[in-house]
Amino acid sequence: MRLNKAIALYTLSLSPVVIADNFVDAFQSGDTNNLSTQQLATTDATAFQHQSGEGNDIKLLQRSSELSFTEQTQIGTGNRSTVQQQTGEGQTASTHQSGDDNRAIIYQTTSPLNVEGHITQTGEGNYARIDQNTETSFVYADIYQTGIDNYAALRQTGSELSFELNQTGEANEVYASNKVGSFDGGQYGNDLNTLITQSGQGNVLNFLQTGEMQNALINQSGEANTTTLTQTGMLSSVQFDQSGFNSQATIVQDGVNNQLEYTQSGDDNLLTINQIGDDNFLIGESIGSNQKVISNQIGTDLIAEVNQEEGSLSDAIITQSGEHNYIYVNQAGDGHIANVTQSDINQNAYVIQTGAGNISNIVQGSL
Amino acid sequence: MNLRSINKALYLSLVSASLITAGKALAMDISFNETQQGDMLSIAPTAQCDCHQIFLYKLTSKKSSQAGSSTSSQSGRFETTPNQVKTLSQLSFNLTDDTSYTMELTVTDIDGNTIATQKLSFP
Repeated sequence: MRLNKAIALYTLSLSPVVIADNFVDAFQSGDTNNLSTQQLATTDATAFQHQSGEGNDIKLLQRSSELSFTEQTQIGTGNRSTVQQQTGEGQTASTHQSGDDNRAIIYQTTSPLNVEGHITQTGEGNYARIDQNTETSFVYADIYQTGIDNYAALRQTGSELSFELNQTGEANEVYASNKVGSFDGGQYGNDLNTLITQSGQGNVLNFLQTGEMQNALINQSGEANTTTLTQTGMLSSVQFDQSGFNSQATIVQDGVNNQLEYTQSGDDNLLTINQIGDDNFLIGESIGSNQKVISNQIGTDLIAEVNQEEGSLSDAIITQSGEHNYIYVNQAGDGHIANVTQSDINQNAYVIQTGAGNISNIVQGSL
Repeated sequence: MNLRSINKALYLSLVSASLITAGKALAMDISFNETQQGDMLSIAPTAQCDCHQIFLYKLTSKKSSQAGSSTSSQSGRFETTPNQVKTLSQLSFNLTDDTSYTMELTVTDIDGNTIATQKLSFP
């Protein structure tokens, strides 16, 4: 194996720099190279790090800096990039990797304001993780992955948190949930926003939002995809769109004044909804055949509106526990089943079925 | 209270109607086929016609009790075959001591002309 030495245009390799307006621009080509940079106690620290080859490693530490900026680029396979930005206000980190089996991690901690992390990966078997444990405001992360068997993980704490993810390909996974694996992922705080797009087959999304005023927009297209979304807190909203075949989703909203809008199109999809709390609202439509929606709401002043259209043999199983609730089910096509259950008093249920061989079951009252 | 016996008492036997189509009278028999298991009452509207023809049906129901109210509407098209009873849909709901309900089944031809209607109510 041939090892190329570093080609560094400015300083590098474990040399701390303690001056303002630091600037580092480093290049390495070849295999199994290490590129490590530390910028400490500076303002306006900037680091560019570039590697091409296989099995290369980038490490960057920017500490006590204001307006830290860094960008890593790695081309090849089996490369590693780790960025740590600590303490300063205005941190921005971007990592770009192309090739297979690469790993990129961005840690951003303790900044009082304005944090951004970006990771872009193209290839197979890549891993991207952004950990923004800032307890601050205006935090943003995005991850873009194209290829197969890629994995993305996120953790954000603070307020006014935003996350955007786009995965294209097959068997890609997003884990930002404390319920999966050892990684304590998710968004924690107030005023949370997430936009997730997955296209392809066999993709998996696990996502958690905890706090108030959460907003999640999720779009999954393709076959055999899976979504598990959990929101705990109040004043939250979900817009969920899943298109394709044999996909399934579970959405949990635990809190009050939450709302869910969904669309599932294609055949053989399953959607399970759990809303726990008062004044919650869900509305959506399933377009296709053999679609199944299972909804369970617990609380008072709840609304569930479920539409199943342009297909046959779909099921709507809608349950509400509490008082003063409302269910509306509209099914068009043949062989649909609507099971509506409302316990307690002052309930309203409407079931409309158009087609042939449809079955409606309505149960109201103390069960 | 024997709900089933009351329902049976209210059961309206087959209703026939006739329609002149192309100078030929059609006889349509429609009914509510009721079954009860525990507190659940299931009603399956049926239709029979000595003809081979496409019709439209609509079953509407309103139910109320202390627990609340429900409204159900089932509609669609069906094709009859001579000497065969066609089950159009099925509606089930639970019964309590204070339950009241009304139900109406209407069959029309594809032009919207009413062929047969039947109502069921309790109490």
